[in-house]
Amino acid sequence: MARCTLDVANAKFQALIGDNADLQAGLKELQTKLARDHKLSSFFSQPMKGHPDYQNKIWKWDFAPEGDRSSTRKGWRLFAYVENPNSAEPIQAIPFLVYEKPGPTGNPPKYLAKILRQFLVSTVKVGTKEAKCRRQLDGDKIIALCNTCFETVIISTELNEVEIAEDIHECTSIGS
Amino acid sequence: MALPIRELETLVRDEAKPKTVCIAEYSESTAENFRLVFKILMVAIALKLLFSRVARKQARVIDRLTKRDFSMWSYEAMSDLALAIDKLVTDERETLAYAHRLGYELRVFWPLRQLQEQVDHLDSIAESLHAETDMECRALMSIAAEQSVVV
Repeated sequence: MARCTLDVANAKFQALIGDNADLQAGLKELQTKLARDHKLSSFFSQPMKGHPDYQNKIWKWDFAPEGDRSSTRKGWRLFAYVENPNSAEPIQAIPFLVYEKPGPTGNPPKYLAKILRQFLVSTVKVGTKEAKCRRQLDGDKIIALCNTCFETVIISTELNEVEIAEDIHECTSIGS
Repeated sequence: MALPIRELETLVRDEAKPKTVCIAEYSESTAENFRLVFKILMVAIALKLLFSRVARKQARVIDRLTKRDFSMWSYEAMSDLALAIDKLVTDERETLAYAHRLGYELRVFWPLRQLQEQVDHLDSIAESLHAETDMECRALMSIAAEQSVVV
């Protein structure tokens, strides 16, 4: 049982979650559980295949309002960055994203992509010298994401197609 | 790994769910007779054994899933596994919904809270695997992770 310190007092994270009393209480309870064993509370390590810098370093937990054990309880999911998963205990985890669990009929990737986009729009400060879009290589494909709305501009194996799509992209809805 | 999930899914879909639906219907019957009470009792006992079996198997499966290094898997294999988990979660949620319609005196002997927590955990794992196989999600997640590292 590996103990883990979840840094919920982290200023960036606190600025993100605001004053939701239920959420804060749930986080406190989660923090206490993880201090005993990081595998409690529906733990899972996001594989991050294709991103060696983050492979198995993004940990995820579910939690609910403190003390609420009803079958219809609302709940949240939390992602945290763990720089060194094999470090001496307690393992340090920096939470960076928390969101309401989707309902049972949700489309998981679409829902999570929307949450991630909203998070990035609210947290990423793009400087004036930054490129309009950022590109990532995924296998033989280039995925271009807008640096403002974080929508996918294009996925293509052809660089000239990517360049054209980036030039003509216009943000329609920020963070949706 | 998909095989134990499918075995669990068969157990839930073909045994636990029909029995739970059956007992829910029996208990909502307005008829009052010893035969009905006896039937309810027998199904309740069978469900206690069945739910306990599901909970034990599920705990083992979840333990294996949380220890596995999926970064070595193909996206196709992850997707197959995620879909198998989705089916199990759907059937089990429906079963639990029927179980929660029943009176406390029946439910109290079943490990429903444990099963609910396990279903939520499996749902979270499936969500992660689905996200992993979606190129847009992968890209957004890596940028989000990068943000957590930037001071």
